[in-house]
Amino acid sequence: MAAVVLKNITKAFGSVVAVDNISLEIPDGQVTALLGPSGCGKTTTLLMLAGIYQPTRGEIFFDEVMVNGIPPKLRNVGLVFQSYALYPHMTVFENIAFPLKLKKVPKDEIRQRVQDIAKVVQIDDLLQRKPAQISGGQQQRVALCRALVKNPDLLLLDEPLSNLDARLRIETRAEIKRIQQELGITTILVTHDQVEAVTMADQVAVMRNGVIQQYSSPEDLLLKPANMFVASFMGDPPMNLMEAELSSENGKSVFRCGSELKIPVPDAIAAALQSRRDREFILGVRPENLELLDEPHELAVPGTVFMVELLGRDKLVDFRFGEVALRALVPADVAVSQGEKKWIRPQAHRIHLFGKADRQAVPLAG
Amino acid sequence: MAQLKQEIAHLPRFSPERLRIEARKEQRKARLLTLFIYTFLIVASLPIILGYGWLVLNSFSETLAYGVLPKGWTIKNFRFLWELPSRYYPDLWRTTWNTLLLAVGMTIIMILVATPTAYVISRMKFPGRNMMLAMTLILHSFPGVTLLISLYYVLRSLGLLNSIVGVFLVKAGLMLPLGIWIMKGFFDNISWDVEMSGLVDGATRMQTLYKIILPQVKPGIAAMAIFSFINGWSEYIYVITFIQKKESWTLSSYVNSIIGDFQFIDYGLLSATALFYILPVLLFFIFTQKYLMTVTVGGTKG
Repeated sequence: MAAVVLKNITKAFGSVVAVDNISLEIPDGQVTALLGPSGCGKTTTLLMLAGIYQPTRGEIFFDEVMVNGIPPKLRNVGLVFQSYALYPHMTVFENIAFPLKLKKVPKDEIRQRVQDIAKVVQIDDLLQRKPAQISGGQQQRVALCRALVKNPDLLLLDEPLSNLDARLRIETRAEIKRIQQELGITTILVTHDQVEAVTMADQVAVMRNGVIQQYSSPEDLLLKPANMFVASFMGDPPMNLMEAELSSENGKSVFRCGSELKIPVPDAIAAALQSRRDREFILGVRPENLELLDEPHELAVPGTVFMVELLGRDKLVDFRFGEVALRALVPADVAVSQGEKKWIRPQAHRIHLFGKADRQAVPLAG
Repeated sequence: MAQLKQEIAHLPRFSPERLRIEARKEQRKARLLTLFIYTFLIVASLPIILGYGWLVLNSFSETLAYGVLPKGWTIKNFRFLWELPSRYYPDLWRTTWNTLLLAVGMTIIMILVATPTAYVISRMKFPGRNMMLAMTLILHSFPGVTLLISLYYVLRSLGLLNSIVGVFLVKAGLMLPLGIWIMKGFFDNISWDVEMSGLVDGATRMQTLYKIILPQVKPGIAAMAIFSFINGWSEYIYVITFIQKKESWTLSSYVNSIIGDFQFIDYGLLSATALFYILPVLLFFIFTQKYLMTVTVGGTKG
């Protein structure tokens, strides 16, 4: 097992900078996710860790040993590709045995180890088939076996679940997590799926355009987004984000959002903003942090229900204030219908503010 | 058709009668189309079938009635297999050996040169790569006939006239670009993931090539090998131009001489030798066509 450190890593392909000066410390024995939209440089980072790509600048350390320039075969990493990249001309057994054969492990031991690892993911009855003769989920598990059979110090997973259907994905997710915990192997997971990252990882690095936006625990990503990109990327349904101008009305401060929406400012936030010069912000509040009340409240905004969508366990209630939309998530059994009047109260400690110019989170007490 | 149309004109859109009549109309249309397709295919393949049929029949017949129709059953046309038809001809088996040498030589050189070249062009970046690709394509698209005279001089100055080696070198030079292009296509189809996977699994680049990449392009290599063999076996123009010495003849010069050297053409002999010339290729093709047809059975995605 190994702790991994990336120091000021940059990777450029010609004039295109795929990864731009990132630094990361990946703790030993845990799952770390690289999360971001496609083209954000997460796979490039993964391939640099595997040794396929060499960083243009910066250093990579495995357990304090610099591994720049060390070829993949000496790094002892296991890699599962999104496409699985199984060898189509070999049987499942030969696929899994391939890394061991190259290491010149004795034949009996190879057979034993392949069978053991195949049992763990329950493909031991498929060993004589060719990859084309097994299902996508099974192929995925073969790829996982091939990565694990050599007892790697580092397991790299590149979108391991994105080719599976929804149910299989949930099963495999739990499966990978279970195996990882059983073996205690340092794992780096690349994904564009926030659910995957949040459920599987101990910490998540959100990337965009080759830059790390935030590196923290999954909870903090949702509760304390460092900037507007993270806030909008994380969470489903997405966070309500709107331009808000801090002003005062009848001696009370309010956020003016567009021409029709005025959100009262809770005292704690007003106090936190006192020292700031700027009056214009981006206000964000997640749909699940909006409460719907039947009676007026001093921190609530009156609104008429524009549309209701049933999303299984929840209902998404849509309000419109001119050009500004506000969506609230309530349990499915809450009675609410189109055209009804409600009071919407944002939970005070769940309001996020971002600077209008730099889009960075404004620190609020609590 | 017109009658049916009238019949259903008054029926409502979704009445059972109407649907039945419409279905019958569709069936009729489908039958007509099938008939048309078969007629077209039969007519189009008729010249080939007739031509080869005539060749086979004629090689076993004594004379031609009206100059075209085979008549009388005999195998005397095949006597060239065990005796020389006349003193003008070289030994048949030696000629066959020469032909085989050229065909096998072509096959080997194509596999040994085109495969690694194509791998490098497909997988590696180096200065002049695109230029090289364009040049191979352009070179291949020149008609070989335009080079006949200059090649004649080149071969003469190298002392390679009248030798199979000369023809072999010329053919290889002209065929390689095509082989490289075919093989490049096969290499391009193998995903980088599979190759990277090999590297991560602990293989060197060379091991990855031998153990992972080459097994996957086997059908491509087979197709190219078969193609080169047939191409070498049936080479005509360079053999005729560069080889006069009878010891170095190939079967195409042999057949050619039957058409050219006599006052009148012995059609029986011509058909028999032609059949002898075609047969190995035909057999070869029948046994190898499964390789020509197979496309890689992909295993990367589910």
